Amino acid sequence: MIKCEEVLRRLYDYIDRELDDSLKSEIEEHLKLCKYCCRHHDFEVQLKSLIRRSCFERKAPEFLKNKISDLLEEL
Amino acid sequence: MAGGGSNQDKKKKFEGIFLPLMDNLYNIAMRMTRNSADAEDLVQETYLKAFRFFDHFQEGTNARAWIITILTNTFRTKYRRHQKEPAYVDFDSVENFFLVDEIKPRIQPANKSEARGSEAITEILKAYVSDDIIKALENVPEQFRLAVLLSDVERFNYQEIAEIIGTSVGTVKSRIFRGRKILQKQLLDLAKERGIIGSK
Repeated sequence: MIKCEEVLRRLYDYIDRELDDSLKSEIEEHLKLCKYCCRHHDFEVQLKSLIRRSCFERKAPEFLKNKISDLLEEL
Repeated sequence: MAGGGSNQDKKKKFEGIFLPLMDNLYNIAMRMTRNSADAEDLVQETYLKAFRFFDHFQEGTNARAWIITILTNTFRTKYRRHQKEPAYVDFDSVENFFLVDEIKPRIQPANKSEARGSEAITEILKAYVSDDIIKALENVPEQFRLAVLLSDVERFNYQEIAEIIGTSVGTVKSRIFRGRKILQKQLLDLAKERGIIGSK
């Protein structure tokens, strides 16, 4: 079975869906059985979505939208 | 060719495809320039440039990746030199750093055998508001920050990021890895500063 060290080393590839199927399922199996790695996995996944949410809380200001529309109109 | 027909048609088409992406562009611009005046200029310049090159845009390809490539190139050539880079980071010290190993929530679960996984993690992350995350992100050196943004916020895959930045997939991987580690280190420092967690 794949070792914790290897799982942690490939964790980002796994989370970012960059692994081939065989390694992916090996890691999947490992995560089901290993609390330590599972905790790492869950943490990274949650932090990844927290980063996304934090950034998207902010929208482009209305005046900028209007300004760019106007500029394009003038071209 | 995307821009057949009259100029008016071309504008309409351009606006239809690209204006809905402005929040995405503004977000990246804000995180990269770290101030709203530069971010606004960068977004504006990106749109004008994109319109000039619209004939080169191939319909059916990823419009978001296309215009973000223009934004990152514009940032690199024009805005980067005004930037004061975050302080030196000791890369070796982040290599084996795992934030999750450093922090234990103050409130331990009543029943220790529960030693909860996901719930406890949610508690840890609740200590951070979005301003904390953004501040930490902005303290990550620029090239790592960009890779993390494109992966975590824009959800591009490594190949797409490599094309946007103009580098290899291997480089993208290592930038994302280091960027995330540096970010986590920033979050740990912040938590210590506030006494949210103690040192181990």
